[in-house]
Parts: sequence; C-alpha cells; structure tokens
Amino acid sequence: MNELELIERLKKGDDAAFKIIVEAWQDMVYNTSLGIVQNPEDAEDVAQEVFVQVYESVGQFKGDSKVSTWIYRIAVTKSLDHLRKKKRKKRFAFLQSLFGINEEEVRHEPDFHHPGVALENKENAAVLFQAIDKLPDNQKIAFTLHKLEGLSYQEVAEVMESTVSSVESLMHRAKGNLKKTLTEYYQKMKE
Amino acid sequence: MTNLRNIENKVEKTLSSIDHTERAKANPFLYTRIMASLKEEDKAPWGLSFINRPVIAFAAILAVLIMNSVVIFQSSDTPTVVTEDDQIFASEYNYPQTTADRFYSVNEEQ
Repeated sequence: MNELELIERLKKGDDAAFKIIVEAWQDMVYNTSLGIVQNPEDAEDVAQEVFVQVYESVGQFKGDSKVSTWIYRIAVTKSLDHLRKKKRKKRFAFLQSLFGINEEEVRHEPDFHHPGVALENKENAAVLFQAIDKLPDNQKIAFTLHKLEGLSYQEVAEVMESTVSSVESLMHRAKGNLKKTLTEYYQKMKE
Repeated sequence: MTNLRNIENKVEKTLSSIDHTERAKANPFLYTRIMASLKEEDKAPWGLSFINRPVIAFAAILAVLIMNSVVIFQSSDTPTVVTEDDQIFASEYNYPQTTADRFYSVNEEQ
C-alpha cells in the first residue's frame, strides 16, 4: 500500500491506517525532535503531539508534497514551539527565583547525549550539541535535518519550503557559527 | 602556533562527531500513548482548554475592562431626563420630583 492510499484511509477515519503511519514514521519524527529539543522525554512528548496533529489535520493534506515532508514540517514546527515554551518557563522561573517566590534553584540541563552517536564520539558530540543549541532556529533546523536525519539539501529545502541555494547558505552560516563557538569553547578549556 | 592547530583539529573532530549517527528509536508504546491522548481530547469539554492560553486569558480581561470603561464613560455623559410619565407618576403618589424637593420633604417630616 502506498503513502497516499494510507492517507486516504486515514481521512476516512481508519485507525489501522493511522497505526501503520505512526509505526512507519515514528523514529523519523522522534529523531528529528530529539535533535532539536535535545531531551529524550521532551522529544517523546513532541512526537506524540506531532502524530495527534497528523490525525487531526489529515483532511488539510492535499498531496502536493511527500507525506514524509509534511510530517517533517509538523515535527520541526512542534519542536520549535516546545523550545519556545521551555525558554519562556525558564525565564519565568528565573524571575520568580529573583523575587524569592520560587525558592527552588533554576536547574541547568545536563549534557545531552544522543543515543545513536558512536561511543568514541560521545564527548565531542555532547559539546557539538551544546553549540547547535545556540544556533538561530533556521540554521539549527537545516543542520539537524541534514546531519542527523541525513536529508539532502533538496529534501531540507522541501521541508523548510525554501530553495536549495538558501539551504546551502544556511548550512554555510551554521558551520561558521559552530566553528566560532567551538573554537571559543576549546580556547577557554586551554586557559 | 601548535596550540592553534590543536584547537582547529579538535573543532574539526567535534564537527564530524555526529556524522553517521544512527537514528534514535522512538518509544515502542508511542502509538498507545497517542491514542490515549486522542481519547482524552475527545472527553475534555470543549471551550475550556483554550482559556489556559495566556494570550486568550489576557485578551478576555482586556475586553472586559474596555467594555466596563465604555459603559462608565457613556453613563456619565448621558443627562438624566425626567419624562412626562415620571412627573405624572411622582405627583400621583406624592413623590418628590427633584433632589431639592426630596431634601425639603425629609426635613418637613422631621
């Protein structure tokens, strides 16, 4: 059964088709959101929200892009929304701690370790993920989709509803920013 | 010089540390969680969840405040008009028609 047939069945409310869709794309969605939110529990919540939206908004899917591209777009949007909400909460908790309302210390996230990274690269990858987290949103998305999901520039452009040349430019700027952050990090380590 | 080269090498090694990373696997019970969440949404009374959004709550408070100030502003501008019907009613029941009349009638009673 092809992708479009599955979507048509889901539009008719077929739960079995929905189960096939979830099972086919759950790792793709989870890995994408994990790369962006950099927390396994949060990534799981985001993956759940993504498929709830797929279920609820399948009627709006016109079939002018691939199903995977459509799901990637939802995953990226939901992940960025999640990050924004988390930042807002952190800022609020920090303000509360300043005024003594919330006596709990503002906790810092531990280093993120992606489960798919080879053991010998774990330490370097944790440093890289910290640097990725500081990138502007569009550079973070392009870099994550290309490096973690292995999408080509053409596929990244389709997900981001952009052109290949602008994805190339985003990747160039992302690499430049990462090099700068990492150089500063290792210089500080030497001091 | 060697120091700088060392840092450059370290940066390059770090940048390539996530190349060929395996895809992370989702929770095998994700589908069950999604279905539970969809059922939960069906049960929730409509119209209540949207109030939780700060933007909606703030907009609702602002709308109430604006409506209040409009009503207060309009009522202070409108002069009290005593109609003919009011006068007939007042004279029939011997009720003082103006504030001054009401003051004197109270004083007379005392």
